[in-house]
Amino acid sequence: MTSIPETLIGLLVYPGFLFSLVVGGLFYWLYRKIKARFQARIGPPCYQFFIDLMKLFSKESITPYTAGSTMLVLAPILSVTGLLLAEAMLPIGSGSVLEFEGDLIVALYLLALPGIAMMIAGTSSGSPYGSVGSAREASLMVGYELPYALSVLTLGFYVKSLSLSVIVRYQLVNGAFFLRYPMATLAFLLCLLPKVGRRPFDAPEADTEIIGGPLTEYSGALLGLFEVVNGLRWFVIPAFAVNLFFGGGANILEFLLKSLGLVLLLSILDVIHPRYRIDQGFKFFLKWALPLSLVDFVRSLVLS
Amino acid sequence: MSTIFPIGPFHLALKEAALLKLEVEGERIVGGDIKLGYMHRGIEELATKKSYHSNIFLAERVCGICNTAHSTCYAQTVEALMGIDPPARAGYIRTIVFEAERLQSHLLWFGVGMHEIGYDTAYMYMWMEREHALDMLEAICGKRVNLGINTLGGVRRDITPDKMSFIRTKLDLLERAVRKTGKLIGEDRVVKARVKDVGVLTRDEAKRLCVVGPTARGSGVNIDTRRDDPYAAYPNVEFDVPVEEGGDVLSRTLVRLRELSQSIKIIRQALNDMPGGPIALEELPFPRVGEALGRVEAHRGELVYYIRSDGTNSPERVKIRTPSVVNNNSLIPMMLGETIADAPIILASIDPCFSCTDRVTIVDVRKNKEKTMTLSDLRRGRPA
Repeated sequence: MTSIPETLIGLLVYPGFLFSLVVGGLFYWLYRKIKARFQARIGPPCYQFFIDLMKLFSKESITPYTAGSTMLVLAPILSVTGLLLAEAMLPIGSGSVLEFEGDLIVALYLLALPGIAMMIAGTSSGSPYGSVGSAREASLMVGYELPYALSVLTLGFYVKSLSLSVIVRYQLVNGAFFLRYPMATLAFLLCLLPKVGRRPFDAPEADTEIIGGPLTEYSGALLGLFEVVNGLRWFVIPAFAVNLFFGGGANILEFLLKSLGLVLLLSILDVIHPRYRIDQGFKFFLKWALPLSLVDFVRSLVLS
Repeated sequence: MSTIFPIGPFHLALKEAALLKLEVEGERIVGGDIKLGYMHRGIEELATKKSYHSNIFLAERVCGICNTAHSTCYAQTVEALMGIDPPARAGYIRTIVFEAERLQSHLLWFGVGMHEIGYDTAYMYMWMEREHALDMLEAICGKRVNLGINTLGGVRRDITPDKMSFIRTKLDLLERAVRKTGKLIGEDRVVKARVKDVGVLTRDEAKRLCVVGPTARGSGVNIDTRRDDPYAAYPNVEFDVPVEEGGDVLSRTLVRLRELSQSIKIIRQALNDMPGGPIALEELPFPRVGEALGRVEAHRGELVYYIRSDGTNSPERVKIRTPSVVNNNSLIPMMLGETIADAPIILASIDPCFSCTDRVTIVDVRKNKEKTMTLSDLRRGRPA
C-alpha cells in the first residue's frame, strides 16, 4: 500500500499527468513532423504542442449564448480525467499507480470517456457543426468500441484475469500476445485510429466538412484542455496497446520505444489515407474489425 | 424535421466567401439555397471607366486562376471590334499560355478536391507538381499567376528557343505527374468510395441547367468552345474533347484528368508548329461603334465577353458571363439526397469561382425582399 503523497506524485508527475503530457506532446509532434515530411513540408518544431497550450490557456474562453454552459465546461474536464485515471492504471515500466483486480474493465470504460466527452461537447455547444460532429462520433463509437472491447476481453479470458498487471506479467514470461492473437491485435490496432481521431476515421472532426465538429465553438482554456486531451491520448492509447498486445516493457525505455513504434504506424496510416465518410467508416468496422476480433475471442473461449 | 446547416460565408471547404444554406435531416441534404454576393468588386462598372488597353489588366483580375482566359477573351473581343487579326505567332503563344494555365488550374483543382475528401497528402503532392506548370508560365510570361501576356493585337513576350526546351522538360515532368494522378484516382479504394456515384447530374438535367465546361462534359454533354468555335491557334492543333457519361464527381474528375493530357498534347504541337514573324501588331485602329461578343473555353467552362463600343477610348458596356455563373446553379440539384460529408467534394467538383460570379443584389433580411442595385444607386452610394 502506497502512501498518499506517493500516489499523488504518481498521478500528477510520474508516470501520471506531467510525464504523459510531455511524452504525448512529443509523440504528437512526431506525428505532425512525419506527416509534414511525407507531404514535402517542413513541419513544426518539437516544442510546438507546448507553446500551443501556453497560447490557448492565456486566452479568453468564449461561451456562445446558445450553448449549455455547464456541460460545455464539463466535457473537456471529463475527457482529461478519463485519460488520466486510465493512465494511472497502466503498468509503465515497473508497475502502475492504481492496481486492483478488474482494472482492465475500468480502464476500458475510462478510455471511452474522451469519445463521450466529444459527444457532450458537440451537443452542448449549440452549433449545427457540433451536433453533426457528435452524431458522427456516436455512430463511430458504436462501430469501434465493440471490436475494441472484444479484443481486450480475449486476453482477459485467456489469462483468466481482468487485471492489467497480470496480463503484462504473463507476456513478460510467455511472449507478447500479438503472436498468439494476431487477428485481435489487428482489430485492436484498427480501433486505435478513431481513438486518437486520425484518418481515415476522423469524420467527427472533419475540417473541410464540419469545421472542427464538436470543437467548433470552443476557445481559450477550454480548447486548451481539449488540446491536452490530444496530447495525452497520443501517449495513453498507444501505451494501453503496448501493455495488452506487445508485452509491456521491462523498463521505461523499452516501453517508450514500443509506444513510439505504434505512433509511427498510426502516423503512416494517417498520412496515406483520405477520410472515410461516416457510414463507410462505420461499415468498415462492422465488416473487418468486428469479425477479426470475434474469431480470436471465440478461439480464446475455446482454448481456455 | 429539417434543420439549416450553413456552409459559409467563411468555411474551410470554400476558398472564397459564399453561403450555402443546406436543409438537412440528420446528415442527409433535403434542400438548399446558395447565396452569393460577398465577393462583389464592381468590375463591369469599372471597365467602362478605363481605356480599352488598361482593361486587359482589369479583365485579368476578374479571376486569379483563369486570368489568361479572361484577358484572351477580352482581347479577342476588342480585336473583333477593331476588325484586326493578331499575327499567327501571337495566336500560338496565346494557345500555349492558355493551356499551360489550364494545366496549373486543373492540378490546383485536383489538390483542392483531395483536400475536401481529407486526403491531405495527395493535396500537397498535387500542388508540388503544379509548381512545374507555374515554372513554365514564369519562363514564358515572367510571372507565375497574373500573367499579363496578352495585349491588343498580339502578345507582349516572345517564346525563344531556349524557353521552348525548358517548357519541353517541364511538360515531361507534368506528363509523369498526370500518369501518377490517374493511377491514384483509378486505384485508391477510399478515394473511389468518396467520389463514385456521388453528386450525380444527369445529362438532361445538365442540359436544362445549361452547365458548361468539365461539369457539362462529365454529364455527357459534348461541348467545347475550343473545338466548336476555334480561336487563337486551336484550328491548327489536334486534340480530343474528353466526355464522360457518368455525371458523378468521378466523371468530372476523369474529364479533368484527361484534359490535362490533352493540354500537354496541345502545347507540344503548338511548340513544334509555331510560325515565325512578329508577336504583335505595330499599329491599332480605333474600335468601331458597335458591339462584339467573344467566347473562349476557360478552365471551368465557356467564358463570354460582350463589349459595346460608342467610338470613344473606353467601352460603353462590358458584360462578363463567367462559367461559374451557370455552373453554380447545378450545385443544389447535385447535393439533394447526398450527405453533408459529400457536400464539400460536390461543391469542389464544379470548381466554383465566386469572385467572378458576384453581381450586386441587396437582400433586405427583415422584409425578405431583394433588389438589384442600379447604376444611379451605386453613384449615390446607398440603395434607394
